[in-house]
Amino acid sequence: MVSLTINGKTQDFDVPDDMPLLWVIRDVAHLTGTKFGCGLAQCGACTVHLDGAPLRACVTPVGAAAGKAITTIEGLSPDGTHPVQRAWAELDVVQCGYCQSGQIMSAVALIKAKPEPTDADIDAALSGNICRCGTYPRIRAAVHRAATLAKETTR
Amino acid sequence: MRHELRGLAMLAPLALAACGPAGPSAEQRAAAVDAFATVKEVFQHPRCQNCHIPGDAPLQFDAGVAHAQAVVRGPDGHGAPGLPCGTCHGESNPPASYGPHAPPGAPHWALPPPSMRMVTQGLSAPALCAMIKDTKENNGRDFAALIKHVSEDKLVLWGWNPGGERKPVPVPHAQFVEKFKVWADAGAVSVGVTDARRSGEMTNFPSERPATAEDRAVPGHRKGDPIPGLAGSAVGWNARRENRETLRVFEPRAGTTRKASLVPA
Repeated sequence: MVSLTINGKTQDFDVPDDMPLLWVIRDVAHLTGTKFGCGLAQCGACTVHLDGAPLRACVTPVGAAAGKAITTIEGLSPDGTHPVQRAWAELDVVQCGYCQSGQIMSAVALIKAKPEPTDADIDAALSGNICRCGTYPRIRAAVHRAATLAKETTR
Repeated sequence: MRHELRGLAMLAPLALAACGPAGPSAEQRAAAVDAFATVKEVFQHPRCQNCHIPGDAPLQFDAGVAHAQAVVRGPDGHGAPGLPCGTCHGESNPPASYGPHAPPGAPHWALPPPSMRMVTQGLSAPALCAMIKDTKENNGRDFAALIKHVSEDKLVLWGWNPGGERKPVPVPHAQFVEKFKVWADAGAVSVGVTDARRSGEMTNFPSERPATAEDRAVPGHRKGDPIPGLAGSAVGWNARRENRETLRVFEPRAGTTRKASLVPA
């Protein structure tokens, strides 16, 4: 039995300690916004936050997340109005969309660490998130836009 | 033990400076130089050396190739803001059921910070010896702290239990610590060029270049024939082999300060 706090809600899950966190999030907690891509921390599709820091859920045993705050794409905002989500919609970043929840979670982590990221900061922070549609130019533009929106929101 | 070591650390520089009877005996010195060969083997094993590098891109695998995903050292050694090392490298190696290719893990997975790089890659025995005991280069560690680091640090110990199909450090950990102590107890004798020559390395001194040469931060570390231009000006190029990134070095007039600029490949 593992006790997890996902998006502010604490719940017990009857799963083995070594089950990947991603399995629990998707198949047991039924939060399917977080995607499975490679299972090897190579693509970034499964990115969630653990105590506010980005994490590849596919290579993290669920036991390592017990007692910590997990945030998935569903937990960013109740209605899709997180600055990064708004920027993503405004610039129509998504093509197929499969990688985008991971991209967004990495972007949120970047803006939190660096509120005014440069192109180089964006490239460095999101280099672990692969987009097979090649939406990288829009992703980069949207991160800049999100940073602006985040500043306006906190003002 | 700790008190003894502290004492040693304070006495060692004096002993070395005096070069007199207080220094290690010839026998002790030979044993220390011999022990340092083991220390060097461990420090420069891929498990340790892949992150003790002069540049900003960590290495991976036994071959020490550039880390996938263009991962960088970052402002504090913990990766780029938004992509810390801990994103993929957990507190311990993943369970074996995750397969041999899942990223390994150990506490505080990181590179040394950019201000204190603790480079071991490519250093000759004399240069490595000097780096390890230079408190300005080793993050202020005295010998007690160095021995604690190599004996107990969980990220160091990971080198002997790297998981997956990674080669562990081949020297048993206890033997490595023992050799480190033999070297430290002999006042951490400076391994000289002669010692290194005797032990069969350094035939052409390829690693005598300063550590900063690898990241090309200082153009003056490179030698070559620039293309001469008007009024004594000159231009030269530095290409990084791994990624063909090109650095242009421009000399406005002979003898003036060189200026380097990065030119996209």
